[in-house]
Amino acid sequence: MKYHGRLVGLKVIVFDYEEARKVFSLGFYGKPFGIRKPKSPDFNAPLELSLIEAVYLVEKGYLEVRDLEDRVLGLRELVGYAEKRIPRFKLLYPVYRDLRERGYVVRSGLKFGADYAVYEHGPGIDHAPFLVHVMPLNEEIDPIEIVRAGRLSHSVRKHFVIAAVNPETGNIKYVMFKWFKP
Amino acid sequence: MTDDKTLNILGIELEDNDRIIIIQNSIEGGTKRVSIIELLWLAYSKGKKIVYNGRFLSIEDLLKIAKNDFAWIVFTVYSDLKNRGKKVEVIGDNLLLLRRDSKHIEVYVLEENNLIMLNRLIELIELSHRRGREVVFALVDKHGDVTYYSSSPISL
Repeated sequence: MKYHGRLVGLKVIVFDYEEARKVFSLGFYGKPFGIRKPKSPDFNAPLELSLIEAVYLVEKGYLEVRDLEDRVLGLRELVGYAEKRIPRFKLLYPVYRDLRERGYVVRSGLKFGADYAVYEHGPGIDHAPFLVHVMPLNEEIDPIEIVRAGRLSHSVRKHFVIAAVNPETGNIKYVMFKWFKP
Repeated sequence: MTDDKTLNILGIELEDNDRIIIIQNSIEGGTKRVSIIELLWLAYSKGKKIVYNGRFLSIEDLLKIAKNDFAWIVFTVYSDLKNRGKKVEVIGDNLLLLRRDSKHIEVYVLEENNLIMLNRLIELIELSHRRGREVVFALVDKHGDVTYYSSSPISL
């Protein structure tokens, strides 16, 4: 079954309510418009997908995306569009895809100061998400970024994850950090 | 100058890992090898007088001997751990070994604004992990405050 989304800026909107519920049910994809904490697919609203979610669903064959001129955007075109519009797309997308392929539910980590909030089962089901910060493997970082990431994570869990992406190969290494009392 | 408060330096050596090692008279009269960081601690926190070639060496003199910009930051973490009553020793340029019960924890010292490649950071974590040791990063901010994070590679 292929669902239908409309590209609007950095979002892809599934306007058909029935399809919106089904896309959401595939694994907590997107957010029903105007519903703050969706926990079930029992809603009547369009579904807003982030561009990253939309690219993944297109790649998996679940979604067809059209622009406002009714033109279908294939995977390559959509990826090219996303790379232009999202500066860190080449880092963020491989991690999103990798985590989804491993069966995790991946949501925005913005409110926790992270790139992704990752759930084993889903928001409202898991006690708390893992917070994932995506960084390029081959760049220098200020060590204090670890402290910053940790401070924000403490409100959720006592540990957080850095996903280090090799931009050349797309290879990802995950390391966990946990506040330590000597 | 052989009272309890005085430590006489007999010689200075450079070891493989670039650590400068001081040979000193111990209180018992023998010789002992300590790192410059440990010597800084003895001078600063224990009030020891460090004497070399008949001359009293200040903290600044010891830092000059260290010839390492990072020595002060390592000393900051070493002091923090010692002040908490921990068993700690210097085992590398920016590496301390913390002994807790039977566990050996490797403490890498990092400093705010002193950038590090992320792949280097991950190499350090993997290296310690392969040695079967827990790894901790001691992060020293611009005010000298230390925050500790333990780290491990994970396969999600």
